Amino acid sequence: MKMFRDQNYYEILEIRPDASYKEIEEAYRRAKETYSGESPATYSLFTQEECNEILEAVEAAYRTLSFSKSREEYDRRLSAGLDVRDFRYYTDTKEAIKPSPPAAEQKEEKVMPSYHAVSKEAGLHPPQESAPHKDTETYEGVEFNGKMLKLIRERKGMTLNSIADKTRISIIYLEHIEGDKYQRLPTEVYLKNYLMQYARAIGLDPKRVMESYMVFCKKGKSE
Amino acid sequence: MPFDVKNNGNGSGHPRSQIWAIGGGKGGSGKSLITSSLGICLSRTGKEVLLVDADLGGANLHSCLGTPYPNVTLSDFIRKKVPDIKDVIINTAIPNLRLISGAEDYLEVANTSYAQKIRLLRQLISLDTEYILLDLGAGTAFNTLDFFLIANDGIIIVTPEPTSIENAYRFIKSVFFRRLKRMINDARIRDIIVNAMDRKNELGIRTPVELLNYVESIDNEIGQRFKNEVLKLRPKLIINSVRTKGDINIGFSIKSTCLKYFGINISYVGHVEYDECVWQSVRRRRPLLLEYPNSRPAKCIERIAKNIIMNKEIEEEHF
Ligand SMILES: Nc1ncnc2c1ncn2[C@@H]1O[C@H](COP(=O)(O)OP(=O)(O)OP(=O)(O)O)[C@@H](O)[C@H]1O
Ligand SMILES: [Mg+2]
Repeated sequence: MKMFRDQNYYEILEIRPDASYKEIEEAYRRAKETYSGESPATYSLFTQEECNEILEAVEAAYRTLSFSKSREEYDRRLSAGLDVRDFRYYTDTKEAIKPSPPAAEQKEEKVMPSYHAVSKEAGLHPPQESAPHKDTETYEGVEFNGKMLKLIRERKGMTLNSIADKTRISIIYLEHIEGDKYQRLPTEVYLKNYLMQYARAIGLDPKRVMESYMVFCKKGKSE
Repeated sequence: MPFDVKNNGNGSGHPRSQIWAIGGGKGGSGKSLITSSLGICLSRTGKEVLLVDADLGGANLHSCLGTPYPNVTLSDFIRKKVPDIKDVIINTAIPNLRLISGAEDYLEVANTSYAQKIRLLRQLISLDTEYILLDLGAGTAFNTLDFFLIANDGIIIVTPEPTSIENAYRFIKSVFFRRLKRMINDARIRDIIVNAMDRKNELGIRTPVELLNYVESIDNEIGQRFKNEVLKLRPKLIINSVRTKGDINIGFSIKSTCLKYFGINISYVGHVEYDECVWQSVRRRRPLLLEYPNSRPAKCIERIAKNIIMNKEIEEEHF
């Protein structure tokens, strides 16, 4: 039982340390609703300033835990018993995790991922070596499965929630898309539409993403 | 000492009977409706159920069951007109469901002494029935708080309105301090608490959680004991007269707020929809579950009964 000021990011969001991505999203939405000053459940116990303080922590918690890399680093520090109070989450690719990253190499990868690193993480073959440090937006030669899309989205500092807001696609479908849960996706017509919207939202070529993803999807479904 | 705490929801109870206490502050929030309906749900599982109208002063549980005004009530027992609690139990038209009707003479009974309360509780828990449901009525009188604390499950009914929520918080706060107070016969503990409360602005103590942390920083052992007491409090929450999705979500917000403010982990067991059929059945003095068994409020209450029995919370719904 801790004061909210001393709660770690899991406690602030009231989730278990092994919470799924969807649970984090839900907890975040719920916390925003509770502490944004509209809820009749809060005003009589917490002042406006306290609500703002909680909201700030909620925001930081959400940012940190929404991105796999920063979550890993946060978890590592938590379990090592390190002080996590001023843990700096990173909101975009330029903002690296602040103090003492485990290795210089990894740090660089966080700041500016090479295609090679991204592809490896997504379990894909690396693209032609011609592209590495040029315009990151084209992602030439990259195949887009869900894992890859998620990586790209996260590196751009976008949350799934913001994509859901933009596209009005249910967060559950977005998660299935990123999770390569082909069996759980809607029928082809809808899926194609979703994929193009998703691609547009994270600044990728809609047609390429859709076509590339559909190859994985068909293969995955037939297996 | 009948108020001893065992490792159950809110306090001790007879090993044979589960006591559920239904309270929560505001008048008219649906306590009697929900108590009677939960009783009917439980009786249908084949268990013996006793409903007790412990709303000393505002008794109306019998109306929710369609039972005529009984000629024996709890006040006959409290005023020792009858020696045995069994003498005031009446049958209802529903199998397995019996009732102790509430006292109507407010002033005398609402100020029940401690000794009388203990006598009542002793006899209640000695009864051979699987479930005892207490309809507590509104307010934060000591009677109400003690009944709530002694129950295995304390259930708070709130409607999605600011006044109702404020009252519920007042109720929870009273329960919180009533629970801690029982430990304060130790002079040392009392000193720490009194000192903390006196200097709470200076010390920056704003919430009960902060108070507990302060006590812990002064005396680790006592602080731990307090925290353990608070952790044992796991009241259940029902939101009644729900009209929108937002109303349902208020339950989650209350849960979160209570956890951060009191350190109390409420379990949100469900909501009951608002429906005209409720007051129609009330007006006809017929139980909702018999009059409109397929109505949405009836279904909601059945789900809640299941959740409480299984010790589960409302499914987080996706939308
Ligand atoms: N879900 C509902 N939908 C519509 N009306 C409701 C609902 N729940 C309760 N009511 C209305 O509210 C009235 C009060 O309910 P009830 O008597 O159960 O409240 P209470 O909390 O026991 O009140 P008191 O504190 O006075 O004992 C009922 O007569 C009914 O008409
Ligand atoms: Mg009542």
